[in-house]
Amino acid sequence: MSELRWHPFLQQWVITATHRQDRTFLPPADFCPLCPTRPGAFPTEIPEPTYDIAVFQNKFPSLQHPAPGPAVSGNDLHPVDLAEGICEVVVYTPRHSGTLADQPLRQIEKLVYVWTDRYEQLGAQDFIDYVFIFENKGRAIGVTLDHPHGQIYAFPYIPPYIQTELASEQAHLDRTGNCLMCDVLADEYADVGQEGQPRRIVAENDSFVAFIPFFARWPYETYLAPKNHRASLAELDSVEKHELAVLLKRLLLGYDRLFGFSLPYIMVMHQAPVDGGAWPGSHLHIEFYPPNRTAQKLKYLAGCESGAGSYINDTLAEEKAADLRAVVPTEDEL
Amino acid sequence: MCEKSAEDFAFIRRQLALEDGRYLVLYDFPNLAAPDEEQVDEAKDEEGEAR
Repeated sequence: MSELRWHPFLQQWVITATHRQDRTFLPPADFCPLCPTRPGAFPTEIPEPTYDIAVFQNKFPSLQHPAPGPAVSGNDLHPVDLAEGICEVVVYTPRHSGTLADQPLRQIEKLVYVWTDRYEQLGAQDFIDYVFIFENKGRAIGVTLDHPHGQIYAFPYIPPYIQTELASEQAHLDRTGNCLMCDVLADEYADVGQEGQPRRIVAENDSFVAFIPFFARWPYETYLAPKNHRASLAELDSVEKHELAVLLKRLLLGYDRLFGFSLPYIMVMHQAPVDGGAWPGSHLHIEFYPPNRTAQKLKYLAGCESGAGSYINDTLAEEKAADLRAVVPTEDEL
Repeated sequence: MCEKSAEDFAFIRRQLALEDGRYLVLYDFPNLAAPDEEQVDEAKDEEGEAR
């Protein structure tokens, strides 16, 4: 069963997907559904002996095409709609063990090309308004499969956080004539500490910069954005794709060095909608939310965050950026 | 300074149908080494122990 139920107080859709209760949960490596199907072995989701990168429709999707009929009837107060959309799994490598950070730089650069292609392919579907690329990494985040992979949700609407972000970008553009993210980046570079280093910038190269934003909600929340205005992956040239892969690997290795273990995180990509509209304020970026506030302690979205929508960060972005900057490797170390 | 490698990231996209009707898309980069041929950084679990 799968449908959209309208939340009249928050003015947003809630997706019900009861079949997801039965999804595969932390299978042993010999029964990993994301590995290639080996001769004579367990048949996986990928009936090929190997692959570079594989993408397939999620067996337990939240959004489907064609969508099944809703299990309930709605009314004016409680509208119901089809959970129309596409949910894909992106398998980063045929190797079962490791993480995205562990992949060779070339493999991460391949992934950037695949992400771009999925954004364009899914975005060309007329029932899709937003292509949301993300990764949940680590059991602390709730992943159910250890094989390195991410996901893509192709939504029939623009999700709430993205709507808010787009509205903020448009308002800033109307007020100043500037892109909000471009102005945020300029402000990050302008805020220099005593040692002459921008205080919240973690790492950079010619095309991209990683920083813990002034307004970070999580201790090690990091944004990774192109320095020049790019609305989506589709606007990156080959040099920028390469430099995105380089800075992504550096940042992820830095996360893993922070506490001496492979750091769990949520990684989400924000870019221009694919609804056919003009989004001049949209600026591609990737946001990372690691749940750890120390090696042993996690931040939870508890009463104030979940019930009031107001985040409390127990740390200062400037201090956490210095921590992370100190452990991010240089490109030569990759 | 981050220099662009001269590598060719042209890819081939193969779309297959799975038995239950879902699609599978395989991306191959014929001008680059396959992941099985590349050195992967030492994999570590979340407790920092090599697997």
